[in-house]
Amino acid sequence: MQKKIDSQNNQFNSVYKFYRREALQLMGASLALAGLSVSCRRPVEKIIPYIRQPELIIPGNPNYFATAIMLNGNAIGIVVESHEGRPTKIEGNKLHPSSLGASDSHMQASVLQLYDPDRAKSPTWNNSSSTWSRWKKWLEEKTIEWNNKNGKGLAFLTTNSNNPTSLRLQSAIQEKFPNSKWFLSSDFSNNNKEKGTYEIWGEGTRVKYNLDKASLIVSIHDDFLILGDDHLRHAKNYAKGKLLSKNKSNRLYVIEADTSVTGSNADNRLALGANDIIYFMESLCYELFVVNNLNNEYFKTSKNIFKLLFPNTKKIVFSNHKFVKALAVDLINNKSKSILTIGNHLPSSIHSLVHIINIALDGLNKTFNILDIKTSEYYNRMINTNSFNSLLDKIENKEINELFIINSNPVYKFPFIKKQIIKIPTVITMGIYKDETGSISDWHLPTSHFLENWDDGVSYDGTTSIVQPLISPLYNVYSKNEILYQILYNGEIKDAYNLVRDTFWKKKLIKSDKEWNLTLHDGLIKNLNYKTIKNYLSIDFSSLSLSLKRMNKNKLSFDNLELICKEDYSISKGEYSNISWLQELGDPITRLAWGNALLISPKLAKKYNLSTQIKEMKYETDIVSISIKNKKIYAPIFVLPGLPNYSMCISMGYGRTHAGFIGNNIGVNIGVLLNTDDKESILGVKIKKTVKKYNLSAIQIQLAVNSDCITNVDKLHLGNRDIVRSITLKEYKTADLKKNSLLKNLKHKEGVLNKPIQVTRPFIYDKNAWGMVIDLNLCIGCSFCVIACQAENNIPIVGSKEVKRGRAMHWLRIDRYFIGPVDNAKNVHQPVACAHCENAPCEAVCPVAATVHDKEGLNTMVYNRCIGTRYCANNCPYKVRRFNYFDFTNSGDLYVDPKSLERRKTLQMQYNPDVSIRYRGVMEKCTYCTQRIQEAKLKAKRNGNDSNNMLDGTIVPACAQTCPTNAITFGNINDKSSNVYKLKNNDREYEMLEELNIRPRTSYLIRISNPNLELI
Amino acid sequence: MNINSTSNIHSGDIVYEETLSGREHLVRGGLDFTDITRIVCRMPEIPLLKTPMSWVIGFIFAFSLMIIFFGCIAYLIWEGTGIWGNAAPVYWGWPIVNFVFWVGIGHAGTLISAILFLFRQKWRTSINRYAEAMTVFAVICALVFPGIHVGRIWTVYWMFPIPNQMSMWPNFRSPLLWDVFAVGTYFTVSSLFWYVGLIPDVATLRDRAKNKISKVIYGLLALGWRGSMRHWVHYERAYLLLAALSTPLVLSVHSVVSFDFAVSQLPGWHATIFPPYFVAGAIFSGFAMVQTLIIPARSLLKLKNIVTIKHIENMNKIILLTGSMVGYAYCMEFFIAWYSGNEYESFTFINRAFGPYSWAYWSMVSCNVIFPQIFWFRKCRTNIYISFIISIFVNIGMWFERFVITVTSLNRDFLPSSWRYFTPTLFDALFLIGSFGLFLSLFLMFIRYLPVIAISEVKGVMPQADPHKK
Repeated sequence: MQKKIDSQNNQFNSVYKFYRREALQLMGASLALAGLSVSCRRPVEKIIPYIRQPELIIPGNPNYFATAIMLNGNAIGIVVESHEGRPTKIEGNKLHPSSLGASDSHMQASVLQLYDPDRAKSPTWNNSSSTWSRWKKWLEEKTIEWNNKNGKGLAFLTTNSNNPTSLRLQSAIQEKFPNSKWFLSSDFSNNNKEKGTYEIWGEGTRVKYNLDKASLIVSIHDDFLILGDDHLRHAKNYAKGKLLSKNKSNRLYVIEADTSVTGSNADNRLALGANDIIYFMESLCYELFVVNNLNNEYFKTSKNIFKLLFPNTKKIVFSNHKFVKALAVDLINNKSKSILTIGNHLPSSIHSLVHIINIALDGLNKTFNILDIKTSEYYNRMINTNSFNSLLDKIENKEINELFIINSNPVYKFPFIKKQIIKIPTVITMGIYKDETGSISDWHLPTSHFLENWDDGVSYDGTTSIVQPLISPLYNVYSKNEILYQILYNGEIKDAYNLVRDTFWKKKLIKSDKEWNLTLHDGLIKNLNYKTIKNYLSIDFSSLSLSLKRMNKNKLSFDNLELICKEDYSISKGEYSNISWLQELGDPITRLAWGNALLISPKLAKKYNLSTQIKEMKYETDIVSISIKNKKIYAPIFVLPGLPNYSMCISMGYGRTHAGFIGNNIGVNIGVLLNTDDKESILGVKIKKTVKKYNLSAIQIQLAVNSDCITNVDKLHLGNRDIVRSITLKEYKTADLKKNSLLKNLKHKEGVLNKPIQVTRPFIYDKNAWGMVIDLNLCIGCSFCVIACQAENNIPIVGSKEVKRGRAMHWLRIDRYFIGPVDNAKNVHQPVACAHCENAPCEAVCPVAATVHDKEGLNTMVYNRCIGTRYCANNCPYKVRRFNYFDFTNSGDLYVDPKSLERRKTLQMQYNPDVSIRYRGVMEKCTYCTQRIQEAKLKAKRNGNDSNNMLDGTIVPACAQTCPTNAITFGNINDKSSNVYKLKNNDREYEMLEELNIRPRTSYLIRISNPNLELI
Repeated sequence: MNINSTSNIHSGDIVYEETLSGREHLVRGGLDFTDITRIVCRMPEIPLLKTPMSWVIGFIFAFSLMIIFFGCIAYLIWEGTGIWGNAAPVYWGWPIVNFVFWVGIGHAGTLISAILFLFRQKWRTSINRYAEAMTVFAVICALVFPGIHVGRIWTVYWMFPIPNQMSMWPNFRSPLLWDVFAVGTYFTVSSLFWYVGLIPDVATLRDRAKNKISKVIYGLLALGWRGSMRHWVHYERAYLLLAALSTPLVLSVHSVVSFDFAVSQLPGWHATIFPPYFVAGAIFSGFAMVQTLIIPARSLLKLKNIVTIKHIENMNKIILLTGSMVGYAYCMEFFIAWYSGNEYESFTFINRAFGPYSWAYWSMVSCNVIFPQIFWFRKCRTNIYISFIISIFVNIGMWFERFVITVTSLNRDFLPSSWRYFTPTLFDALFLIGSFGLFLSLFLMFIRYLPVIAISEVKGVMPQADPHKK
């Protein structure tokens, strides 16, 4: 027994022995483990301040520089925000007539293009990396040849871009090598507009619309609010005319073959195929000139204009005669205050016809001006330029040895010419990207981005700007002008700055350094633009009537379908394919992102048994084959109410193969089917249903239409929800808008904006009280504000797959709803962002109080406190909160894959340093640009001013700043003199979902449409 | 002892009548105290190497599912919550549905243990240990989900009111925080209650233990129970107190969980019927889960005489009752949605029944309301096969109910522009299956090593326990 007890004691002892040795072992082990944990910290990144601080740069304070961007060959003035020498945001230039403070999505996204890692970084020769010195050697050899033959075999393919220095150098090259050939890059809108004014006013003229002087605007296939020359100015002017008073508002008629944004804003719209426009014009001319006897002394004839234009017409055959009659009467009633605008791609004879009507309506020098480009300082347009087709002929005849392709991508636009291009002995491409053409060229010379180097540009109305760089070239690139200079002077290098200065100094347009600095400061040369002309040629009616007669074709029908290739709203004709922001920006009407689709009308869909359906998570649609003659491609369709019955639309710019990481293999390239002489409306198109289906990526998936689509659009779930309120002008005059409003009897007490939220202790906002009003009447649905918000607030891109799941991160979205029956569906657009509700449903439910209300009324999102339960997003009735489901910004501190790391190096330079980057698992939403509010308040405090009494307009959020129609107004509601206060007290003001008592600080103004009562 | 053959339901069953109350004995088969101990302690006392093959196969299966679960959690922490199907506007998907599902299941155990104890329902004694264990394990599974469904799992401790460098309290207005306290309390109290109840039975195992390891472990767990009168008095008192504490929890915990939905603004969620509706649903699904677990166990563990058909029948009656309550709640929701005249509310309910998720809705209604009605017939509710099948259906139906509530209200709410269909991904399914793996692993361990029936309590309701019995 004792033995047993002893052994048990020994066991006990051995288990519990813990003397010095064991203690030391334990201490050593914990020290070692602690060391391990210390080495597992995040990598240390040091921030180093300036040792020698450059002039004007105070770290943390941005600088703003004025420059200009070329869009569609014309310059638009911009102001670029630069942080520590890096351009981060592009905004409009208030002083520039083409911008007037607004900017569009391409302008906003071009800052990302600067930092695109897929840019061409160094010259390549035969697809392998080369150097500029080797290029110089090659050029020197070739120059000897060219000198001997005066440039025989040398050819240039350029665009019509209005840069004075480039034009100067190009004509100098043309002079030096007289046998060289110059070709203009083919574009559907090639010269139609110019030919149209040429017929009446001669060479070197162009039309400039003054929409603010018009109370009646008729757009014939012209998406003037969003696309085309001067669209920002047009949008501003259009907005000016909307709701001038309670009784007056301008009226917009749109006749179009696609569903454009301008069409969605129309008060009266006619869907008409491009092929059938001639019948419409004929009918309109009949109504105006015959029925209403319109004439004008300008024409210098007493004969009936209609007989001069359409001498052979016996009977008018136009199905929608009622529309034309009403339109004609309206035009006559608004004589000298009406304007017809016409889209670039329609034939030049229709352009001339429209000008004639505009003259007859007495609009010259009122609603439109004719600008004279000839007399400008830089009128040295491609004097001896030939068309693109002649280039192909010359290649066939082996007349081209060296072809320079400047900023153009013909191999993508018309893939069939690849065979031709390869035949040319040497092809030299110049461009930012090594695109489809660059991949088969011999030399690819990378050019600099406009933010990197000096240049100049002329806007549509002649305003000249100097393009000044904001950052040194990121890569081993030269600007286009520098390369042209090298070609001109045998490889000699002169930097772009001097080239541009030479242009202006030589012509004595800038005479002193003081003027130069002022130009750079303002972003334009003062008092330098095209003059309007007063004289006119006599109109050759006979030749015009002949060309009109030639346009008489068969009407569109199921056997005669037309295909319209339109410029994409986001990526234009393919130049912007590699910019992720633009790929993810949903099309304003279809709401599709990351790809294009063939848009067809419900009637056509029914005939071919095609449908677009929401099938569970998929936005499923049929794939059809599109064939023109013997070429065929496959594309997904999208059924869209509002399209004319026999017209189909598809966007250009997709289906690229050498765009870069983002843009490759997205969508379908319609260029495969096209010929260089195709007009934008192509006939003889056949479609055929295949068994395959496609899953569309869309930002918003509601309101697709399926093939047995006689469903009333009202049933498409908008129902009785008065989320978007829209009434006609007639109703507005007599309606009591606040009749059913729950807030009708509440008076605004001083400092207390609304009824107290709870019975006890209302919070008094007596300092700043930020609020916003969005005028649905002015919102045209362009989505430029969305991109501006993305640029300003470092909003990440999620990619096509995640967009399909609905995880797009845009803080501000433009909702598009259809109203009315399917055969006459109208679109409405509504921008929705966080409304900063005073009684916010999201704030109550966050378990960690990561979203709280501040004293100025902002609902603040505290990223570092958020644990990501997502209850706030569930409770938000507007669903404006966005969650980072994955590490979309690739900022993960544990591991980032090498490819993303490489791409991130330049892309992260675009980030706005005033806005934190959100990691995954964190919720984010619109902050009313709180960084701008803070900046303004701090600035006021530094200057000794009262930060609670800032002038209205000191703080402008990115969305309000970019909006071309000024639909978004932001400010301090407590300031009685502010615009936002006035709008909050406007009778049209309403809150969305006001019955929930959430008291949003963002309210809306009811949309007032002004349709022609005879056409309703 | 009368053998009354007319009152027994199953031929061959020996059913005895109580002399005083006239009711039949709860324990059948003419067992006495030593029989009970022997039957219940049989499984824990099987040596490790002689573990029955059915248990081993079950455990391997459950354990592998559990490993999958933990692997998925690791992947989730690495990659992010995007691996699930959650997307705007459906920000809560399967993880929350699973959470509410598991928490609901737990309520049956507490009801059996606590509420039926206070109501002096003696028949609860055969099933209460089992059900209480189910509660504890279900709550463990439930607690995992809110922990991992957050975007930043490494900061989830910020929901607790612990002193921190931000000097921030959590937001007490948020139902998710009430959840933290409610479910946390529920877990604590249930575990305590279960453990305290286990003490005498574990002591039995300790006294019967043959090998050293069992002795030590059971000895530790038994906390020195001697079986003296003083210990029994303290035990009974503690048990009563804990039962009284647990009783309100049955009603409050799932009410608080329902506030996750009811306090929000969404049509379809913002309804005052949610707390009683959820509690009824919780009890409903919990009892169904108890049935699912106990019907196979009583035959595999040879407990047929202790957990008798009467117990199964009583549980089926409760299932029928609560199922009908849930059915009533469905009808009331529809009625109020129409009666309110609120456009959004009426649309939500029409959408539930006839919209894109109508398949889920009708599965839910048929499984929850229609199928259990079969229990009106005595033949059905005393048939173990039908009971088992219906219990599976009820579990499926109740999972779908939470799914329908969560997802259909989110997927189509106020603004049509944000409507989007929710589809689960593979990981959603793996998490659900994995949670069953976790639950079953824990449960199988319980079956293997602990007494599944409250030995002392069952003995207390046998005729031999009556001191006045001859």
